[in-house]
Amino acid sequence: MNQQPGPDPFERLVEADPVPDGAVPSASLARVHARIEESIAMASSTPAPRDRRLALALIGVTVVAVAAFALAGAGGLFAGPSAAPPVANGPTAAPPDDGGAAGGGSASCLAFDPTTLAAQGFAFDGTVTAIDGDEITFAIGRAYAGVDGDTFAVTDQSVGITLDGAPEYQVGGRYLVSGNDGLAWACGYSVAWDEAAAAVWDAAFGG
Amino acid sequence: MPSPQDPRDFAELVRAHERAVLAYALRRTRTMADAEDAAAETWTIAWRRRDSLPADALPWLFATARRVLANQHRGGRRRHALLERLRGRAPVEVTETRLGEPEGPVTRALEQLRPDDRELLRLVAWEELDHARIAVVLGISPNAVAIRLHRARARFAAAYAEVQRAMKDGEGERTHGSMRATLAGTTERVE
Repeated sequence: MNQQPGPDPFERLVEADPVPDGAVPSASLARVHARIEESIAMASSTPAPRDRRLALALIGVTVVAVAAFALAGAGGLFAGPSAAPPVANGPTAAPPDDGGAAGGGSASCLAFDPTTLAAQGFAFDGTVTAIDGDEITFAIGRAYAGVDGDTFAVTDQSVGITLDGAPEYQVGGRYLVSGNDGLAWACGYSVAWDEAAAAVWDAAFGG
Repeated sequence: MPSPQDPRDFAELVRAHERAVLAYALRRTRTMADAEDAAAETWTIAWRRRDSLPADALPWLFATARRVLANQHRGGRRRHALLERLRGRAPVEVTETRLGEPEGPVTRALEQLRPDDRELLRLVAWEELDHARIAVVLGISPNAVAIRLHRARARFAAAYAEVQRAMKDGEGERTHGSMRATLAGTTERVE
């Protein structure tokens, strides 16, 4: 009997890749980012300004940001040389203001994940009443999560380093702000208020 | 590759390799949570060692993730053994499983290989690393990689053929048993 040789088993192994093309779930990537950020922020909570700066830079990368397709469509806030590919399930909100905050360097953002937004420690719609260095105080217009009372103070992560997607806070300005442990995240997690962004936030927090 | 001593460079490093590191972990763990734990721990270690990371950091990251996963696996076995002892039973060996194709012949064949062979084949087939980078991950010379890879492929091919034979035999057994049951039922109805 003339039997045809079967396919190379090694080719079967290649085909059996549990993560074809390295396509990891964006939600999973976001959770890993949050963990890295948390680890570095904890280690950076004392001294070393360099460490804190590093944590902030990483958060900028970490903090899963405004939809990549939206950024690309807006002309590319997401302009890093090895930018991650767009994630199709991002919000349709307008890209956040590019604050251009003072400071050296910049960091780019990854894809925004509404699930991560919904899991933030605090989130609100508020108006800036005072800015003192990197501490910003808001009058709360609407509390989405983790906010009690009429005012709320946060630390702006973008001070000292330019983060793509970091809003430029100004007294009297209205913003959608979220973050954890008193630190306001950038990259779409804190944005200048507009109707489109507010709609995304309403949906993330169940209307 | 920029030095990750600069915060922006470390952020760039994360951005460049985060998907590869998470994919590496996902391919070798049984749950998403385990993979995320391993990836996060790997990056935390990288951050602590950021002043001495090699220029080509990816193999180093994989090697670190490999050690993290090994510790995670040992920890899992210890927890399992403790639970079994608390229940008054003898510990049961916990076998490594992965996401995806849990019962396929490829997975079964891989399970029959030695861990080093298994890892070598995965690094080639899934991470698509060349010999030099694999050498860094496994801590051996590129020449040793070439030799071991040749042998590992042969062992995998043999294991794969054996698994396929066993699966066919099993199917045959089931089919034969099913036919016998059907015939028996027919006989009963006739009787």
